[in-house]
Amino acid sequence: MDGIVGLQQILACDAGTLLTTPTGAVAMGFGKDKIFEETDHQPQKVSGNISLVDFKKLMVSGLSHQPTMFMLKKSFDFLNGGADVQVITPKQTAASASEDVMQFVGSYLLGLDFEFVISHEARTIKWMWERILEKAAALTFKDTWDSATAVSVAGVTDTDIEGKNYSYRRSPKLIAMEAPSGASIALTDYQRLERKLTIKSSKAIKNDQQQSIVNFYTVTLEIAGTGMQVADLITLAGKAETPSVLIKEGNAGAYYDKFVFPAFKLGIGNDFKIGDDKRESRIKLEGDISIFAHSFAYGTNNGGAADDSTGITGGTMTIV
Amino acid sequence: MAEKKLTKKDLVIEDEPFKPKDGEPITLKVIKISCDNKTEKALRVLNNRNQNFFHRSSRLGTLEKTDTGFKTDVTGFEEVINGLNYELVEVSSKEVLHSGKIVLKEVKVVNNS
Repeated sequence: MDGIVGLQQILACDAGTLLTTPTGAVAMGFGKDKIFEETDHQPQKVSGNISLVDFKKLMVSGLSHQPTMFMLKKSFDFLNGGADVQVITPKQTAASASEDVMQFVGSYLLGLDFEFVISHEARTIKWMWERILEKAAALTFKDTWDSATAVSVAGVTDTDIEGKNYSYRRSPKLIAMEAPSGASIALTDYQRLERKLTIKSSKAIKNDQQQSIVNFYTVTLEIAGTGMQVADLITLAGKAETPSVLIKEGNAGAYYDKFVFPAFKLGIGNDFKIGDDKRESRIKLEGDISIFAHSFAYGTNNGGAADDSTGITGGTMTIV
Repeated sequence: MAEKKLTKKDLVIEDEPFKPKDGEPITLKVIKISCDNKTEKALRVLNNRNQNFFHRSSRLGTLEKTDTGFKTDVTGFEEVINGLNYELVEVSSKEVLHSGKIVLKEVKVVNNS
């Protein structure tokens, strides 16, 4: 019988907890591009143009449209071997529990890189998990998939196996974008063409198992606009080289996600072009920040519900 | 398909003499499992986090068929898996058929003095 295509679930939780009491669990939920891939890793070429495979590379990735502050916080926690990962295919036969279940736990832990994006088009988080296994270990791991039992996590994947949750869905809803904090970024809303805030793990070193060791994350804010007047350009030029930045994006009701970047973290640059059919400016603020230089706050006054202690309704990320 | 009843029993690590083609006889440490061996089975030994860290499978040939079921060579791992929980799983249905502990058979020390 043919194997059935697709992945239903990519779930991560704190390392060492998946098969006991899963804690800090997050599933991709509404999302796309969920992929598992196994490839030969750097085969050794020997005489006769023969490739000898010693290692298999395992990769899991996907894009979630449920990038809550909780998921962003957990993505930081999951870096550097901090997560167990469970990947589940659709049922492979009509029988119950016939899904293939990959549990990356114990000696199979994956390394993570992530990319959190708020743009004028969508709010997403992408996970990219990777490691290599020596060939025999990869085969043993593969042998476990169709006999392993999936773990269902209460409140995460027990209602919907993918982890879909309407209240975790996020869509673009700009409330404020300021640099320096409290001042306009020199483009009115009507002039703005595009905007994109990216927070991603960066400059990862790969260990000998090809797991990412992440020391930095990169914050990038890019804004494209049209119709800037000379006065706007002068205002922009007058900004500090590394202004403070505040971004506030609305969630359900009055809840919001807020990002607070103090001065001296992000450098500002801009390009300006006048052509036959355009008068376009691009502003870019960017900086690399040490991986633990952040804090998350939740609840009232931080964007979330009073009883929200994890950031599922809203929250504030502050770079420190 | 009727569900099979889970059997609780411990699996004992036993000594099994082995005479290589060349060289001195050696003693292997093996686990013998009495069960139906007509379908594919997987043996998973679980660590204290319930993780399958020692996996043996009839499909991979690491669970060998015997007259009464299966056996697997655990030489070198006997101390590591001693005392841990195990599950014997029917691959096609994921049903746990047997569970219990792995027990290393005590070797009686003969005092010749």
